[in-house]
Amino acid sequence: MLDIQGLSKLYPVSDGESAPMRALRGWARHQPRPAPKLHAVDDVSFTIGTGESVGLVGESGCGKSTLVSLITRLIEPSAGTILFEGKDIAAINTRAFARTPERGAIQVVFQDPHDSLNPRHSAFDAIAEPLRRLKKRSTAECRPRVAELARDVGFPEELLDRLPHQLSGGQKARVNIARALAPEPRLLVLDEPTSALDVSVQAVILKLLDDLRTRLGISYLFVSHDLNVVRLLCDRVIVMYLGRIVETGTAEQVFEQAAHPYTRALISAIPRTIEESPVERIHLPGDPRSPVNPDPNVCRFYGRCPRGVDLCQESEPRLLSMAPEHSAACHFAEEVQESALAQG
Amino acid sequence: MSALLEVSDLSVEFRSRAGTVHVLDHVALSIARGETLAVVGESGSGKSVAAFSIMGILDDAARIPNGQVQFGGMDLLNANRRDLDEVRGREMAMIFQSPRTALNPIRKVGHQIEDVLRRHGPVARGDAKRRAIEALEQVRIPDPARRYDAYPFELSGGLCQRVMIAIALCCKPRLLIADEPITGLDVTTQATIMDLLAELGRETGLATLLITHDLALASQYADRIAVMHAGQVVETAPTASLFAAPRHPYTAGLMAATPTSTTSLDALESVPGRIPPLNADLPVCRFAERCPRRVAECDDPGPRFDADVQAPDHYFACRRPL
Repeated sequence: MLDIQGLSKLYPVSDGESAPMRALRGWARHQPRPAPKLHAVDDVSFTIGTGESVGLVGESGCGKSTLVSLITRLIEPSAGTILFEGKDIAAINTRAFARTPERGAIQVVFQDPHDSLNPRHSAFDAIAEPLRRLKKRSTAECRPRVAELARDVGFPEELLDRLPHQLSGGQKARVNIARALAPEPRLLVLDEPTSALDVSVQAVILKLLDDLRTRLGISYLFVSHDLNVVRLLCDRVIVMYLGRIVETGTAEQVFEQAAHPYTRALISAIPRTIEESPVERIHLPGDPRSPVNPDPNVCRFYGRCPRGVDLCQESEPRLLSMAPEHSAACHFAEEVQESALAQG
Repeated sequence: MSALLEVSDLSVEFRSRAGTVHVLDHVALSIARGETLAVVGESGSGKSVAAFSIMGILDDAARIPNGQVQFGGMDLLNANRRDLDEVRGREMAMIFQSPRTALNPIRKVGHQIEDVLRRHGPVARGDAKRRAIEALEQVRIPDPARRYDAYPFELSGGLCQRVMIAIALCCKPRLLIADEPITGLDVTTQATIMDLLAELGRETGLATLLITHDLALASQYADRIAVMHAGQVVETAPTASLFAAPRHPYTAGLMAATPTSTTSLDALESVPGRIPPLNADLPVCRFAERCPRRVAECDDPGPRFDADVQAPDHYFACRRPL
């Protein structure tokens, strides 16, 4: 349903040189000197099937949010195609995209359920807004659909006139989900939908999301840093590091047979209760490499990787298939996987 | 074992336009030397207010109608400002969530450590710098001599949190209060910071009060856990004993709601209802409204804390425990 090929987003950044100096140097060399580029999302390809739930994990700065903005067509990509139901939506510019039917077909549930609601809009207004804007319906025409959406997400209809500050965290989360579902999307992007909620509420919302997916048959792209939550809700998982996909596979493959050292470090970092079997912690020293003009011949993870050998700074590993659906970008993927399996 | 910090019968209320808000209700906590106690609760449970009252940094609108906070034989609630200032920062220190906002953005991190050293005793200029670099080294900051001159914006979130820990530990305190120390950091950084805190605790015999909403995190790093709900401590026990047999329905509910590496979505259960508004008349047990095991005697006034006969040091505030 969604097929992304070679998607990149590069941002020009300043290298501390003033514009006249840059022009002067360009003139001296008879060619303009390009500004360094920050590779936020770098040559990313993946697909999401109809009714499939795909998890996207990685640390801050790895390009998750940029990727989400690209897919929802809020920013222009530097390269690559985004085929949504066979149509390349990357070719439509962001302003024009707002008026295409795909705007309603791809919807987002944002991170903080409180901050993403207009404080002066009632729950009804919040849910009706996409219907008014995208479906051009009048308020009266919206009423039955809003009531139906409220029932779908388990939001009490008698609270529809309330303002966000009169609602609990869980109720606000439900309003946000209902709003995203209003234009009948076929792809729902969930950006950390439960991270601002208390655990006692989180469980209901996760169950609601899972239930909605089976009932409505829509696809999910689930962005989260909570791996335990991703494991519960996703069929497949994509792990990103520094703008690149480093591992992708079914949830079971990624969690049980991780083949990239970064994935293993991520999994080892999840806090475990004393009832779970302990896992040896893999510490990642230092900071990630700079995303500005990364050396195309060095593995992005080099420097923090516990394995890192000479080969890793001579050629950058590409995503290699380990098993059907499972691939990892590491020269030593098989060894990493074997040691993961040996540890259980 | 004598307690380093002993909080007993502590109540805190805030004056507000919506009436008096009863934020803490007869809270009791104790930490022994070198021990790590985790206070676990959802937002609004009063865990941060408990920490703030121990440090004596409550808002002006707060009032403490009853309770005691004893630290190393000193009565903190009735101590005068000067004595308190001697203890805070030197004997007990606190680190906060979002390290970047807690640090002074326009002062070099090395100087921020020196500020604390100077405040607590005369130090020569060269000596202060040497000790500040040592403090950065202690929290495993690579290349500490260079980082001494860095401003907070030049450091990553994880490094900023390390700097804050260095500031807290530079006077070798006996108690560290860590208020959600890893919220907002990356998963891998979170683990590194928590491991660092645990290691430093072992090295220096430091006692830690860890405030968190994450039960799994608490179980991994704490010797004992106190579970709070709506301003009341509902259960306190050694970590193993708490997980083996939680006695309070809320503790059990929290455990069932926390996703782990083995739970399935069907097994995950939420805690129904929400924390009652704390400005109204509150029942004896503030969990009663949400409790699936509620009986008539739950509303009887009277002492609420019971010790568990089967497990030592296991207390719970419930009339009909599991």
